[in-house]
Amino acid sequence: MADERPDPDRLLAALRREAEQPPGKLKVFLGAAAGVGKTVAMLEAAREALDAGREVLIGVVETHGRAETQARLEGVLAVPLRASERPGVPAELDLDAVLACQPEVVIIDELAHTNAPGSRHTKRWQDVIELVGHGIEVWTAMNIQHLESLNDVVARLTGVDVHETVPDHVLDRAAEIEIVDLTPEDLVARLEAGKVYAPDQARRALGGFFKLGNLIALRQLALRRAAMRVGEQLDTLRDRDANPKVWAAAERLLVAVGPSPLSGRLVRVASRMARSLDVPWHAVTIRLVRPSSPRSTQLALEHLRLAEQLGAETASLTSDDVPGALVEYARRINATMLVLGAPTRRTWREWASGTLLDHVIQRATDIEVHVVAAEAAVGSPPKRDAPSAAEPTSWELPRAKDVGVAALTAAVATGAAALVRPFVSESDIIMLYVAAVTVAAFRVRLVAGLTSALLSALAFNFFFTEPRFTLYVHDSRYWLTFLMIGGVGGLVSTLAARLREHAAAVREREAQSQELFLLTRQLAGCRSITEVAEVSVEQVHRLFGLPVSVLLPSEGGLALAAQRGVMSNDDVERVTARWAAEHGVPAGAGTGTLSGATGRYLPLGLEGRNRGVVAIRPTPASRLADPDRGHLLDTVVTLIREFLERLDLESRAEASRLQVETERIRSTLLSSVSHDLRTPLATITGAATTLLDKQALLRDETREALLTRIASEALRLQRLLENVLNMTRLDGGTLQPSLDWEIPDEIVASAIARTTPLAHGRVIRPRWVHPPVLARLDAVLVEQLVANFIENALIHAPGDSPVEVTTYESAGDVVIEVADRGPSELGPSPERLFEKFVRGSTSSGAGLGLAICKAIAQVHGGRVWAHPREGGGAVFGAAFPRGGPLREQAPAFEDVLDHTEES
Amino acid sequence: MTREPTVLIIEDEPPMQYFLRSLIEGHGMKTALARTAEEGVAQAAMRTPDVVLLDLGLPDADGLGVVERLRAWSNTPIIVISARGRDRDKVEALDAGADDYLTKPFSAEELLARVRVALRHRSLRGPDEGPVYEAEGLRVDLARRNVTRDGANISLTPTEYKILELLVQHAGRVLTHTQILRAVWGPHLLTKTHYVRVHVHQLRAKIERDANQPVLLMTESGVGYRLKEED
Repeated sequence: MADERPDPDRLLAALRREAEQPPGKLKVFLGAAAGVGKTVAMLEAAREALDAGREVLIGVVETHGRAETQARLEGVLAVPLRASERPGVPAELDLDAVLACQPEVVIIDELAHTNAPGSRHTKRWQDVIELVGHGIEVWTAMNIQHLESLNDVVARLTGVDVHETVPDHVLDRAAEIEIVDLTPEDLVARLEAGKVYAPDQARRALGGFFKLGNLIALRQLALRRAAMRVGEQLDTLRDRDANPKVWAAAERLLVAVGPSPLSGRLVRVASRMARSLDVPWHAVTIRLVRPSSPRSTQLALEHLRLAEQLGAETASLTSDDVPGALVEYARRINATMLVLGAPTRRTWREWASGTLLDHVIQRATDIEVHVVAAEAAVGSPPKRDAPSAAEPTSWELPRAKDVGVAALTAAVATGAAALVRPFVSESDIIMLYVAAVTVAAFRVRLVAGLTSALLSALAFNFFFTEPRFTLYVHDSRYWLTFLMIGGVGGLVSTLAARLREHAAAVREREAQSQELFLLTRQLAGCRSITEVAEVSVEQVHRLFGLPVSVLLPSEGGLALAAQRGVMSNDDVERVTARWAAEHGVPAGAGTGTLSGATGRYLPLGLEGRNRGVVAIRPTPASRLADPDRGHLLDTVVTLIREFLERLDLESRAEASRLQVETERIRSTLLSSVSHDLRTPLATITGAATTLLDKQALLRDETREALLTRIASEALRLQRLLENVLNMTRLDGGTLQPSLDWEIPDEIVASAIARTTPLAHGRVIRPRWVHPPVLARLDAVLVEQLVANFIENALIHAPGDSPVEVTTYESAGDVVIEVADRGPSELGPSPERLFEKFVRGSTSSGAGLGLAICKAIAQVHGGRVWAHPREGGGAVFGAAFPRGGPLREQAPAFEDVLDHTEES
Repeated sequence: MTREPTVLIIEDEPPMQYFLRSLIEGHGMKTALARTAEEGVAQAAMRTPDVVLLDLGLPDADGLGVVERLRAWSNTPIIVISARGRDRDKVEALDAGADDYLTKPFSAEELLARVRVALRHRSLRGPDEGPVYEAEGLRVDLARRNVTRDGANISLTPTEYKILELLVQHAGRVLTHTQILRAVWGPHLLTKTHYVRVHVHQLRAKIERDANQPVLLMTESGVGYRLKEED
């Protein structure tokens, strides 16, 4: 049964194809060459569709002045082309106008066309992808020679390089491919009849590209491609129906690329192989640890990008052991096939120790190795095979400084030799020169090292060999000596150069990871999106030395959140930034989209999730085009994006937690308040209706008692509501204490005066500890706190026991304590009494009074507590810093008196 | 026969308006009613009331604006009525020229006391009660600058005396910290409200029988001070 299980990779691929199938349909009219009648076929299809009642619009059609095409345009609506503002730049498809029209079907001719500078996308196929992405059905036309993966085949077959290409994935996206076929003979006949080009142009064409042989080959390519497509569609159907018998073992193909032009061909060959075998494929480039020339790195990365466009997964590795790294990577991704380029020319070292290919074949015993031969047809002559990557870059003219060092060491060696000559043998003098050359070679580059060797050899010859003070060499054995000196110089400086390069590379990488680490740490400290923006801008500016800004989404667009350096902000920039943010794809300078902008815009979110963009303005001198820097920028932006994502998740979690908490408080408050409102309301209603009852015979005292009841119950309601109101305001954080320099005694006296009516004759005894002080308090709030403490004491303390209020200063705090003789049992954790909705056993309040006290103390930067009182009862206390929450310097009482009293 | 005093009630809520009106008319005074700020200002001009009761929570304008508009041409005593928790509103209204305030809910007794004080002060703002103030054993003779407590002389510093004099002139009415500061130290020290607190504290120690439980010089938390009405 095991072999009937569907291969997960294939299934996933099928699902992905389905998921990625955009809402709009893409239909491609594929031809073998120009003039086969693609445009005509498209327009005929359009007419049929129009007749069938569909809404068809012409986005762009190239008539090439052909009458038969022109005739078919009649009666089909067309969107006018968008003329460029710059003179001499041709008009282009008006993408926005088409998007605005939202037609059912739009016709876009010449898929491989390259847009004029200043357009949104570099290539027309990008326009088409955007249209399809907006759910518009697009009909388009292209010739087979423009397909990226066939590019080299076409070049080989016809000898003509085609520059305008369309990536294969675009054609893969097509839901329908219609082959517009014409036999080569008919096409030649049409050309000769002048139906395709003007007569003289046609003659030239027939001699070049349109040779009958070429046309036959191209037609075959087109037909084969269409057939392959049909095969794929069959596969898709089969995958979905999971017919279990045809699953092959999972195969995987890996191609190794480098800077050599052969690599382009390698990629295309691998792509075609993968496609025809229907296996996933990967491309890898391996860079040496020592830095290679920027040009070769760039070429290698370009090949990698090409592979990516053709549907490969790509990777770039760094290692000094190229075959080792390659085989290891192949094993890691479970590659079953490895495609390599054949070595074109062997270096002496390769003759000695074997080529890359030899090494790979030796090690990769379990992997099929396919070798693609080099061909001297395309581009510049291929040099060494791909992954061996870099050329040593030391072959440059020696610098003046290097020559200086070389001359100096030779002179010093000569001087020293002259001094010691009487005492030593000739071989010792040779050793002196060798030592000097070693020292010089270690310090300078290869050429200079050799120069040093040459100078030393000459000096030795001139000063110390017979005949002395001539350059004449009479003993041929000295030639060997000179050669050895030169060899030592060359070897040492090569080794030293490599060592230095290695060290520089390590330093560079070290510095980069250091920077990234720093950025991560800084970002980790950010608590808000604007902070992230600030840090990002700061760090990116420091890393790249370019003007940088971060734009974050705001109502109806993007708003500047942080900026370093000067960025332009005209319409083009704004549109580009917005496009990048909305599509989740980089845009602007140095990208394929809206490259007319001066800034590059890197999105911080994915398509449809606008989280803003990082904008950076590259200058001609900046190294942003250098793949290393570009990669660093991408890494940095990814990092920022991840932190924004994290912040977003955190804030959403916090918000939902808050909401749950608020809900809980609200429901508890509601149930507790409604319970407490019911009693006084019932009393008031009862008393009032009794008084209104004309039948009831009420004595004057009863009447009086009922009225008093109404008044006192109303007061109780009032107090309850006040607590609820205060709690809401303190809880919501909307209450700002209005602080002033107050005398706490005065506030306490006021609170006592306010609560005396509730005491029913019981004593509330204040006790202050002199001298009086000034403290930064909100008198109203603190009075409320003291009143709540007193009320609490009055409720819990027995009948006639007094309540004592003590005010004193302690360690810079004003302390107010209310002591009673009620129960001293406060439970295991007295601080719980200050939580909301916790009531004492005999309390009738909503359990808010003490919670309000806690909140009031907190807005003052103070605290509350409760503990049993010595000799029975409880003490409730609050402490406030004298200087208020900001710990200001409190004015001294006496100072004020001295200062302000008139004499 | 003296003319019955008229009280203008500017209040938008009907139950409250009914309560105020029946209470005031029940005590032998006439009332004029207004539901909005506009109407209130117009009525004040037409009826020349003796006291204005102004609710600060009117729907069409904030009460502070009404106080300022009335004060532009009238000295009629204004008592503002505010909801609890709006302390800043009432202090602003007092500093803008209102004479006193009441916080909802208040008792009939409180309202009548405020109106009575306001009526007593209406004819002449300032030391209109004659030269001598007497309450709870305290006697202040403004003409002779003499203060006694139960017959014994009290010696006050010049600042304390100035404050006491001001309070006596406005006995029964609230004075904000700012008003006291302005009157005693002039207009350039208006942020130093703690000067007032310190000196009032000293003054209280001298004139009260028990400064811990004052009966004469009362603190209105967050607003200011009020000296008890004369006995």
